Amino acid sequence: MNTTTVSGTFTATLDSLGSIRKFISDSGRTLGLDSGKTYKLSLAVDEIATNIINHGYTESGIKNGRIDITVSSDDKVFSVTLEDTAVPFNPLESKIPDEAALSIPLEQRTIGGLGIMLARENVDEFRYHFSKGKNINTFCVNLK
Amino acid sequence: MSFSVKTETFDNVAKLTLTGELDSSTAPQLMEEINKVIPQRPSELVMDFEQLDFMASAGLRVIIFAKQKLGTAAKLFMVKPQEQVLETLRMTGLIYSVTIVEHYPE
Amino acid sequence: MNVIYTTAGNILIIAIEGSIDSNTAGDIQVNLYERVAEATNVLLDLSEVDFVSSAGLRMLLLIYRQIKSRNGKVILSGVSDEIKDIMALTGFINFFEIFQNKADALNSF
Repeated sequence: MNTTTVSGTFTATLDSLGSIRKFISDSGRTLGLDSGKTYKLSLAVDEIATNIINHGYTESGIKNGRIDITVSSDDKVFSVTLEDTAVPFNPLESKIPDEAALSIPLEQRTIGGLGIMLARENVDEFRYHFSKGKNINTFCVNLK
Repeated sequence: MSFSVKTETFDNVAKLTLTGELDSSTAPQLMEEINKVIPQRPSELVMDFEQLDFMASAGLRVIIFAKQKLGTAAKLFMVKPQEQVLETLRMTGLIYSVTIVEHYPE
Repeated sequence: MNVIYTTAGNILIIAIEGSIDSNTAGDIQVNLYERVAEATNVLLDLSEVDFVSSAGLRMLLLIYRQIKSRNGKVILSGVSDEIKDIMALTGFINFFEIFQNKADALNSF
């Protein structure tokens, strides 16, 4: 079993989003994740990172917050973990729009919930836990 | 929602015949079949839509996925899509990525 | 992220280049919505867009509502498969006509 790990730390500001996505897609490419899955994973990470920046740290009143990202791959699963010290927030507790809600005409749609939906639905497994003052969001994609 | 898919492979071709309605509850069945044939690297993926009465956006996602997995070397054929399905393919621009035919083989 | 606005008759063509995320959408939105408020129809050309997050979907939604409330048309061109996929996942794909390129899109108005 061959495991490779790469870590990065990013300032929790919106202008880090491009760098965060690049970090994920570069790692995906290097570690053999197909381009379709890499794209979806970047999207999922972007959505959660955006939430951490826009809500998490803003609500904490913390300036100079950071997001620590670890990418890890063995022969079966490619994982990305985001850690932050902002207010506790569990994306699994958000209600994902159901089929009916997604069919509502755009004139009447509420935009809320789509970001979290895109995060959870674009990876094979999404996990969250809160530990030692940190939010830990984990995204897993099967390599095969 | 009733749905079924029959899969045949011959030469370098994978042919899937769809019956019924393709929506978010039935799309996983189609996805399973696509995932079975893709590793065989067919040069042509044929989807017989003649008996497909309805396709929701979940079905579009499976087609987009198949297209990406097949790669540029392989061709994606659709046989006799019904009017509503054809209209969906046209509206979304997916019609440009597939070859619509009356019969397969042509 | 760059945006080029062109007027062709009563169609506002918005050509975006780059990634549409919460950061870049935030940068251009004031100007974009001001222009959309004056427009009858919109052609949104995404052929140079490589990424769209929910921030981009929000932008699409707001453009759609503005233009539809005045009975205009919003048409998209050059949408990549990845972006079509998230539009399908979120139900957005049912509300837009999508063309491969700008020329075909313009002819359809």
